Amino acid sequence: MKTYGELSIDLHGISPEEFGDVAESSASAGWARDRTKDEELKRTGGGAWFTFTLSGHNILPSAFLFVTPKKPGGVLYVSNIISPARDRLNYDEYNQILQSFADSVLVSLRNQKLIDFSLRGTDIDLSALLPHDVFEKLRRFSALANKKTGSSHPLDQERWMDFLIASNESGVELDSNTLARWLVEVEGWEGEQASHLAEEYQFGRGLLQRAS
Amino acid sequence: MPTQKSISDIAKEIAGTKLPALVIDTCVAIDIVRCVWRERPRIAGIARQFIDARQKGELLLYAHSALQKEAARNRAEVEGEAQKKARNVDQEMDQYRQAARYLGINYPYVIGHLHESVIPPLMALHDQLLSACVHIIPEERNIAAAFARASDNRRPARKGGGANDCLMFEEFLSIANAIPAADPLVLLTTNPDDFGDKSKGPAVIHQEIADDLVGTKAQICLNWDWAAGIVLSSNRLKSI
Repeated sequence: MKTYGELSIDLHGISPEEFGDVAESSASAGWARDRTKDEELKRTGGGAWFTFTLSGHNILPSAFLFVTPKKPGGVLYVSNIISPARDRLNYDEYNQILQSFADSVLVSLRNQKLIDFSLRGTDIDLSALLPHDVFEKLRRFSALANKKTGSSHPLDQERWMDFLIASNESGVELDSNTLARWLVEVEGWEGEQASHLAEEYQFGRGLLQRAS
Repeated sequence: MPTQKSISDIAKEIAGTKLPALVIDTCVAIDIVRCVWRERPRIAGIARQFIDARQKGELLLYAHSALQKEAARNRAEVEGEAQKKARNVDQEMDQYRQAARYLGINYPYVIGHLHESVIPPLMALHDQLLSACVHIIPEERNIAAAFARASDNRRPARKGGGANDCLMFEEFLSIANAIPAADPLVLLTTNPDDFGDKSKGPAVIHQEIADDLVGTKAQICLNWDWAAGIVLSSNRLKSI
């Protein structure tokens, strides 16, 4: 299941400002640094900002990509990417823009041993995110449930509640949006039923946490 | 061309009149058109009361600076979807009508009525609400603040976007900061994904947004009834 990726940059003995300068010099394939925006962001919100723009790409929409230090430590990361051409970039667009930035700006800096970087988190694997028994309970519910009626059949309800209780007992952090997306995108539930189950999950977890 | 005012003039107007003030977002305007298929027909009643209260000088209505453009962009798609849903109702009723004929039982709903006929009045109500609003004039400082907010991925921004939501919130925040004692001053948005924190409950405002409003009496409402309960008189609420 796709999600928005995370790109972090380790600096090897150079300051964030020096990174901004060398990244600006190495930028190619439609990427450029926008120093005016950097100054604007510094004035508005404070801190160090390195704004890169992508324009004229043959597939990807134009975009602003923001790099800023992670607090604390000497690591930079991409805090967000926005596009003037879109209300919101979809997962593929966002991750392809991250990859393009890595390829067209960062790779040459890594080759010069000035930085290292990692691009990860572009997929969510619920089977890896959840403890095995919790995931199995969810998978079992989803596989056996009547997808038209959600958790209303007594047997489906029993399996659904087993999953809720197991989630609570193991203290897993699974947000209801991710659950709803998994039900739809991986398990083929209809959006309405998935949203309803996600609401039940959220309510059920809240109730169980309060009771325990 | 809708009436436009600067943030400072709007703040003066709210402070001077002491009337309840309501700022609406783009989703709110669209909600009117999709109220039937989203099973919230009451929204049409509340919208009519908002407009009437505005016309009778009981309520101040404002729209964020990007609303007109966003509403125009979404208009055709939402109208088309509403028409399609209405046609589906007619088609389903026709199935019942045919079944009733085969069963030899009475089916009293006439064939001549089309549910699609409800859509033009809903579109008209959508347009009336936009006309009843004073539209905020975009200002450089709010555009810059919204850009900073989106770059930092602070709510209502999320990964990949939300710049227009940020602009709307920064404009509302500017009004709230200019007149912190104004009460009620409400932002109605039906976008809980970006403004709410679903992990804490369906109607909990995200902490990053709530923190920015500290020191003001401004409120954010995530549904129509919530906002109506704050800005409309009890008589108007009873009449919905």
